[in-house]
Amino acid sequence: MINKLDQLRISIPIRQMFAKCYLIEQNRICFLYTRNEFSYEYETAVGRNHEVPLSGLFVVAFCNLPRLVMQVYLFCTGLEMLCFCNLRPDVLNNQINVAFVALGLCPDQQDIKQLRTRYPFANFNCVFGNDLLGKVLDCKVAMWYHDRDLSTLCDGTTVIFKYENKVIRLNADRVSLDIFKRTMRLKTNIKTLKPAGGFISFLAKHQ
Amino acid sequence: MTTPFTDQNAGVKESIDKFIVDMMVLIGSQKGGAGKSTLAMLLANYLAGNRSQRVALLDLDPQHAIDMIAKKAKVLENEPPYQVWPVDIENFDFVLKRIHQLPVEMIIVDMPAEMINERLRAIIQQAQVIICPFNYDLLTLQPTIQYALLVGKINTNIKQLFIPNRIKSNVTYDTRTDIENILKRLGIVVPALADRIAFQRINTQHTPSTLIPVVNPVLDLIYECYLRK
Repeated sequence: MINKLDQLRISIPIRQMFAKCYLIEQNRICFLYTRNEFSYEYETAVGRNHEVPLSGLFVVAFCNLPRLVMQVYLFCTGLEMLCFCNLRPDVLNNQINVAFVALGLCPDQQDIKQLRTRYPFANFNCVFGNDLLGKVLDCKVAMWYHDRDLSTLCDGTTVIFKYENKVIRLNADRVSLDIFKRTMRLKTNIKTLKPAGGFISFLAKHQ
Repeated sequence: MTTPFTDQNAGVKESIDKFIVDMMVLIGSQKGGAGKSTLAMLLANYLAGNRSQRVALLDLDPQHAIDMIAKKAKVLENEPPYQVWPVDIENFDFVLKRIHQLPVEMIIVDMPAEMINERLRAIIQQAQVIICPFNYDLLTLQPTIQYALLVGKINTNIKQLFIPNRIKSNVTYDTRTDIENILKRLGIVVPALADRIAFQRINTQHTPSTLIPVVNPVLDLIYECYLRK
């Protein structure tokens, strides 16, 4: 069995760049997520199996001075992070200025709060899925970034966003951060990055 | 006169009897990438959303792809329309007993893409319906037939439905009639599901609206003819 990086055809320069951030053992690639000082979880991938923690932080930064980081890229998984960098190597042109963070399948507000404190001068970029769940997460992260909690419900066809007394309803097929920002009148510089060609994720584009 | 203790037991027994599952539907194929997990989610969404059925979706595939999507779907905070159970084959009976104690009417099982072994045999024996997604290519045909023959031997009462999956509307399939004629001898071939990019975007809480006109007529037919009691 070949390891996941070979299977995904991740380029040698990207592997070298991220080599210290993951572990490969018996073809199993492993990313370490920290929840707090004492608690860890692993994302593992081997063959077609891929296990991802629900939440936690897997951070890759090439500079030890967080205040110099100007761009933070947020992902759900470490594999997605590698695929994104492989497809968009331009984001690594100035390595001192960037940080990559995998947040797990279902991130929480505290993670974003912690990242905002750690990288006070950075712009945040959401690289979540190009589907309803990814787009709802974009909206949540945008609100969390501004220290606002957002509740989201789906009744099958409509997504209901609730923030304090404000309730907005968007057709599930039309949800996007852009529409959400306009409807909620939210001013934010958070950006989203979705793969071209209708792919659900950068990982899916690689497979 | 009965004691309070006996009354309590009777209540428990009654509630267990009340929750006897009506049907177990397997989504199975020997071939990986046939669309089993997607079909399992589509069917579960349809039964829970359109037919108000109480569904449990058992993710028996070692990849547990459905479980991963269900976990992602927690970003939507409402009560999920059905519960997804990631199950290893070894624990199947234990989980099934647990589900029998819950108000579940329909169990959908996403089967692993592998040859039928002893443990899978036991699961097939308990099911009423198996849905097998396939494509009109000769590479898929042989494993589909092998799988169907074995399933038919293991459980003679099971209804086998074959569903042509991800069929491209702009392609003429030369082998279509021949393959359908072979499969019709083993079970029922239902109308095809046309290929749509939105199939990738299904989750356990939502089926994209562009898929509804493609999927619902096929699922209506399956439900009315083979799943409805």
